[in-house]
Amino acid sequence: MRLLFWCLSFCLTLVSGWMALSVAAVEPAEYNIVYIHVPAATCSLVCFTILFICSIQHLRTKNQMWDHIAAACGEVGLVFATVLNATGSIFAYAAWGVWWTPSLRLVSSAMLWFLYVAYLILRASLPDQQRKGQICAVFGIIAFVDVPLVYISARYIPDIHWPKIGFDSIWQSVAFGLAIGGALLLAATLIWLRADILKSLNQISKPALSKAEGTKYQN
Amino acid sequence: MCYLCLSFTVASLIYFVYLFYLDRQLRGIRRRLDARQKD
Repeated sequence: MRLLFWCLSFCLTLVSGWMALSVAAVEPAEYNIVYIHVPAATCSLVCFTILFICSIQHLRTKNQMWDHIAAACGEVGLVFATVLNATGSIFAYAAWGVWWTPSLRLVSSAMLWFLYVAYLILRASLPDQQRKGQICAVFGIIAFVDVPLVYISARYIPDIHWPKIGFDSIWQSVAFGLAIGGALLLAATLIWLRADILKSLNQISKPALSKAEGTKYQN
Repeated sequence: MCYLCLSFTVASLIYFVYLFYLDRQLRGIRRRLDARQKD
């Protein structure tokens, strides 16, 4: 199933990339960065939203699975937030001649990256598994405040950054939709894989089975 | 055009570095499972 997701995500990204370079190309050429930048932004916000929901569920149910998914969302979200800020800086230099400018939109996006980093540092620094889950869940809930700030500042507040993306042709809209779909599938697959790894690591770190229990499972 | 190529390169690099990190984690789990089975 996971392999299917990988393949679908790869196909969608490939098709949208091909369209972005041919029928759906935007002028000037550097504006096509939008096909990489906006999907990364969408995925990072979605990851932080899922982290928020999983944090609430972990505090409510004390189930370790929610903590694993939250941790996975933190890592995958950081990857997409890094792509968001890196491609945003490259576009800023190409379009406006500066790598970064202290506008609300860019500051909130940079804050999002730092919040993800702080979340992961917090996770790595706490030794006790149970307390780690609870403290990180509280941090994840509080840090979610930045997500609506990023969205609202990008869509509704006048800034040097574009408020809305407008396309001239249907091909551009289709390529854009495929790029976002491919990126979301990639995010889902990465979260799934990472959560499985964390679950396995958690199981391995438990004390080994006793000899009697081991014999029982072998038979 | 060069900025578009730079963006694509940077994004691909970030994604591949993370995939490499996940691969290292999986190899570590496999190593620990093999060591546990030998014990």
